[in-house]
Amino acid sequence: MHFETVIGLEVHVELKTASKMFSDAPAHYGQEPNSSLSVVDLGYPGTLPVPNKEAINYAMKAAMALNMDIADVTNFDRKNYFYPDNPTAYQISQMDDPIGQNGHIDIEVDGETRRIGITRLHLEEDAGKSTHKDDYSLVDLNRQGTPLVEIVSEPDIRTPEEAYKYLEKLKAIIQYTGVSDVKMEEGSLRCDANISLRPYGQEAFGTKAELKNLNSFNFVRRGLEHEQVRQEKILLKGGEIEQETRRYDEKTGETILMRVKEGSDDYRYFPEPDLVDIHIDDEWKERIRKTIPLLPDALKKKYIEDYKLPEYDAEILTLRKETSDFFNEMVESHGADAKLASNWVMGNVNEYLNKNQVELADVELTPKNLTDMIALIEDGTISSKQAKKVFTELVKNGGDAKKVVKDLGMEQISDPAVLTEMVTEVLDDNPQSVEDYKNGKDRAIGFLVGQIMKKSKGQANPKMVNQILIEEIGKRYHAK
Amino acid sequence: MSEITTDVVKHVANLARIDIQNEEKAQEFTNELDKIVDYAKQLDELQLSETEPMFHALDLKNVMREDVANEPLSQDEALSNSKSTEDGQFKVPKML
Repeated sequence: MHFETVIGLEVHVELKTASKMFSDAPAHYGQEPNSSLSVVDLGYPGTLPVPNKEAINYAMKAAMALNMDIADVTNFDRKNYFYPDNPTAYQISQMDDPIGQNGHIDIEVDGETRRIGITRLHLEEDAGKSTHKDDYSLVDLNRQGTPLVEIVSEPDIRTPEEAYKYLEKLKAIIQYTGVSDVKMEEGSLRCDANISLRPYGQEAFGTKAELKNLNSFNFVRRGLEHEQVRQEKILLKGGEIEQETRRYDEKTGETILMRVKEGSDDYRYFPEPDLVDIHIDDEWKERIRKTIPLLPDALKKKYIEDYKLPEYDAEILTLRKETSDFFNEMVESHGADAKLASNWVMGNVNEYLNKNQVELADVELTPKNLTDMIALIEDGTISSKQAKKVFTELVKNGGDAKKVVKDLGMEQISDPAVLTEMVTEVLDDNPQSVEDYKNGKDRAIGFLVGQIMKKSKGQANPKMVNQILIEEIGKRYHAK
Repeated sequence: MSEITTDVVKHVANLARIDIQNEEKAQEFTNELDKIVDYAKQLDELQLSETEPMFHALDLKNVMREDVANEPLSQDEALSNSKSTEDGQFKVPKML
């Protein structure tokens, strides 16, 4: 690259409240279009918005988790625009006094920690969804009024890879706070990216392009990679970047011009006259702060320092809350060995989930039965090879690990009396091998063990078989 | 005199989707708005640098509701005032 890349990200996150931001209609709608609306959402004359207290709590919680300063007084503004997915012709948002300002998150890139600043987090209401037909459009307003937070980063991001890491971390943090599902595929997390180039050493930013339609973190990374090259080519040819909005095309991997921005958008923001100030006192802030669980960074540190896990394990285990919750329960509630638990969760468990495109909540595996299964491997009841079958059964059908092992007929025979009987029989049947062993042919032991395993249909505990076998041969030797 | 010109009036009218592009009409609104803005300018004569702006006539704060969802309107009710619908949705002129 001949230029320095400057990237800023705007992320919208839908809050998981029961009702909407300013009305009492349900915020989580079913399949039927326009079936989750109140007269407030539809912008009927004479209706008034009333803020949802829980949405404010959630926004505050997210802002705190992102290390932000929380406003003492926050309020709402009207952003005016005409579009059919917005019945009031304005969006209630926050302009001058957002709930949170001045935060940051730390990301790891190539083994180094980078701190990315977060300018602000503000609350607003979502708009409806439109579908475009040949010569008309259809509008479903169910989403209208759903509480959203917009999280705006500082232009601190320097590479598409950093953008990816920032999003991954932001998503993990928000997910840990529990205020949103943060699922990009379901639209509860959306991202727009601003990108510009400038000569190294220059302080002023270059003209930026805004990228939209970025439907996965990977597409954000690829869209930015493409845009970086496109802008570089123009600049190297002595051309100028136009301030424009571009769309990422998933099929070609290119960015496509949507519209050129002429002047700044004129949204005519003004204080929302239907709403009054929200004063957030220290007591309220503290109440919310107490509800924030251990966040990914702190948890990662705990895994490395207390559980002695490698950094790689700690990183993977803390990317998703359901993964670390599962792992925590194995170790903390059921006494699993941290490294063994980590190996299974990162290995077979993740592999199964990825392969089948399901989540932990969708499978029958529990922290308890996985811990029990690992214990059965450790005490020699089952071999690691057998464990794979047991694991598959536990994931698909669940149940108690011990019982599954028994039902699958895998239980090792570890009863000394039973094993001694088998050993005796095999020794009686193979006097030649016993002779060979006495004459110093150690290989004969292997043959005898094989015979015993065959007799037990592979279920004899190999360690005990060895021990008993040597004892029994010894007895015969001395007896002679 | 204030800064209201016919261009400002036309721009604001366009943003608000009000048809005031006609020159005569624009001039009429310019005169009226000019008077209104001039009237409000009397405030400039007061020493207000220490005064907090007031956005609401009511001295209220922290008016909020609990997060409880109630029965929404039915789809039929929601669409009942629409001139044109299709498949349970509002049918509107082409957007893109």
